[in-house]
Amino acid sequence: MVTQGIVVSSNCQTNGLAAVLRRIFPHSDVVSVPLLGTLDQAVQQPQLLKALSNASLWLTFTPKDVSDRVLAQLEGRRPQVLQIPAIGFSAFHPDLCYVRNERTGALTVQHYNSAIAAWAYMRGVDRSDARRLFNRRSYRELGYFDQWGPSREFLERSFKYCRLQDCFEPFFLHVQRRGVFMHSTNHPKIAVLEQLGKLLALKLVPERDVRAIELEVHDELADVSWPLYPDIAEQLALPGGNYIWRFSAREVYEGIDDYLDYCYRSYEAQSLEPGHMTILHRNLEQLDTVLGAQLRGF
Amino acid sequence: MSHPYQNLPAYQYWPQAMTQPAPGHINPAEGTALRIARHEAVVTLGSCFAQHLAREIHQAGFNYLVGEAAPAHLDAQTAQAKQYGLFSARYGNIYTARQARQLLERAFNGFVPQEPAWQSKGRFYDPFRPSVEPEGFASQEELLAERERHLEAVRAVFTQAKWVIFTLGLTEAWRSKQDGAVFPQAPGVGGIGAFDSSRHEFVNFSVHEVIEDLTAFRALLHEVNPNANLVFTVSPVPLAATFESRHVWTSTTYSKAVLRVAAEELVHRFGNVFYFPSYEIITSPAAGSRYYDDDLRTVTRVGVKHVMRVFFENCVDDTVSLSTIDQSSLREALEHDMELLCDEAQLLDAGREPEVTQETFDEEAYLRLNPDVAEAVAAQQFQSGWHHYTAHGRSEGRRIA
Repeated sequence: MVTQGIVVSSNCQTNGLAAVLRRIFPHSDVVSVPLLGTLDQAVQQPQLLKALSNASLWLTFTPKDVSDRVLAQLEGRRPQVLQIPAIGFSAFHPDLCYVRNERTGALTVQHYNSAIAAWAYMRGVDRSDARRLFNRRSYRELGYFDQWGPSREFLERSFKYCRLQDCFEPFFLHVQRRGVFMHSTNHPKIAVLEQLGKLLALKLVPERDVRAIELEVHDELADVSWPLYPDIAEQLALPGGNYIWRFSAREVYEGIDDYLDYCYRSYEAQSLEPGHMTILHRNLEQLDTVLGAQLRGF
Repeated sequence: MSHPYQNLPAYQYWPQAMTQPAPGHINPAEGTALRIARHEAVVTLGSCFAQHLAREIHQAGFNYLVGEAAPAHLDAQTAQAKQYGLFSARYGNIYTARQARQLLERAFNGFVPQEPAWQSKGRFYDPFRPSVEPEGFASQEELLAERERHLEAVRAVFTQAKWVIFTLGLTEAWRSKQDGAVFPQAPGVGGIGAFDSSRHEFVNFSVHEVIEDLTAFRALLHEVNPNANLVFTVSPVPLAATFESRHVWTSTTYSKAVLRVAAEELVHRFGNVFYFPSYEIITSPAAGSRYYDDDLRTVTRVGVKHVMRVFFENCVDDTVSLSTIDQSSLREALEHDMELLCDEAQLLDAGREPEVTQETFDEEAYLRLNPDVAEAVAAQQFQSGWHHYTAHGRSEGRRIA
């Protein structure tokens, strides 16, 4: 029986997962310690070490060698470690990417960018032409319609890495029935964290089946969401396709024009120069080929 | 030890075919031999759901035969109300196999039903297609003349068709006691005509009757057009009402099961008959009822699009498969992006901490996300959220957005 302290350390999903575990284990002291900043900074947080010194269980998404280093700093009893996956799934939002300002080395603010919009800004495409690049042909030729398989495989590998492969099927089959189960590529909806929390709880306390419990945890990641583009919604046969970007409860951009206006203004305000920006982990040549070919036809 | 279920195509196993693909990519037509070329003449008929297929096939640039074009003086809205172009001819919805069989018997074999015109408010309606003239005809003579033109159009399209796509809808029907002529709706429904128990009766066709009707339909078609191929689908739209004394859902499952079995039987019996799984796509557990609207009956647009996507990708000769597009680089890129997880991007992309400056720092968001800091600022323990963040918040890993 889990009766003592539980520490949860992950990314933005930490608080949600901790809240889920508090509902499941109301008599345990569940402490949420999000790991932000660089890995070295994150694991040396006094707050983390303090929490771990009182814990019997540490759920963490850090690799084993990192969690071992952290535990080595503890004096006395060490908590049991359970590695947990950080949930990422890009099939709903394949256009979402990160952009780095090479002059400062910093990611853009907001962190979330549209690859199409960023490419258009980078190549000096005016907003009206950039707007026309948001179409079915772009999405198809950039492979946006074909990301379900790779996304699923990525998640499955993450579970395997955490030695939770037996949890993957009950996790994924449950969440995929909820339709669009992600707010963005790395922000799961609370139902996803609830299912993950329940499966982890089942792992910890097999004699107590918590799967049928209604948890009703507040979704604190809901204020930020990337749109499910209508053509992608149609391909995935999901309702709710839209072009509404939400970066906070109040910062909402409705429609491609609105978003592009924001995006270009924001890039300019951050002194992001087309020659000194990198669209991270995207094939620039492919973007040039696919989107450039369309531009020549405009 | 080997067994018969080893090494079958992936689509024959439930996990690979149903739980692993993206919801919109469930493809029950995989492996079908059905191939329609865009230039080949297509005729459609059937129940409500067939209207979707007709429209999509038409819009996709197929050689879709329309035997009754709207007169030039009709505006688009009126032409639509009068069902011009809804199907290949203005026969309206054809719900049952018997109705389809009798359409060909009337067009090609001289079958003349005895049922007189139905009337309402002094106007005349064709009992076999009462909805094609919403205001009715002015006289019985006009109705009969228009019917003759209609049957001429039926003859034209069915003799030219390379493909006849028939969406099977119902097994329940109302018919004439005199000659067995089947109506698309019960006499008197909608105030058109009048039900007369001495002349009209209810029928719920058995699987044997449906097979017999479809066989006769095919034989008639083959007689006038030996080159025509038949494609059956089953409408996923449930019954609006049943006249059987039982639950409407029970009647629906009976009806759809009979139609599905009958279609399968025809496919097995004849070489040029195919089945397309519209019903399976819409009702699949993978769709989780999302393909039905809130009335649990109307098929949604995304559902229809899924059906047509499967149709175009599997049954059309000239469709370019998505698999021909090289996806490898994007797959790789997306995997990297998924590893670059939001704020923890820096954890995985060592040494690259996003630079938060006073200009980019969102004071309002920081205070909202950290109520204890907001209280401290209000109590003037800190000058601002930014000051707290630089002194403590950053090292504490506080949320900033």
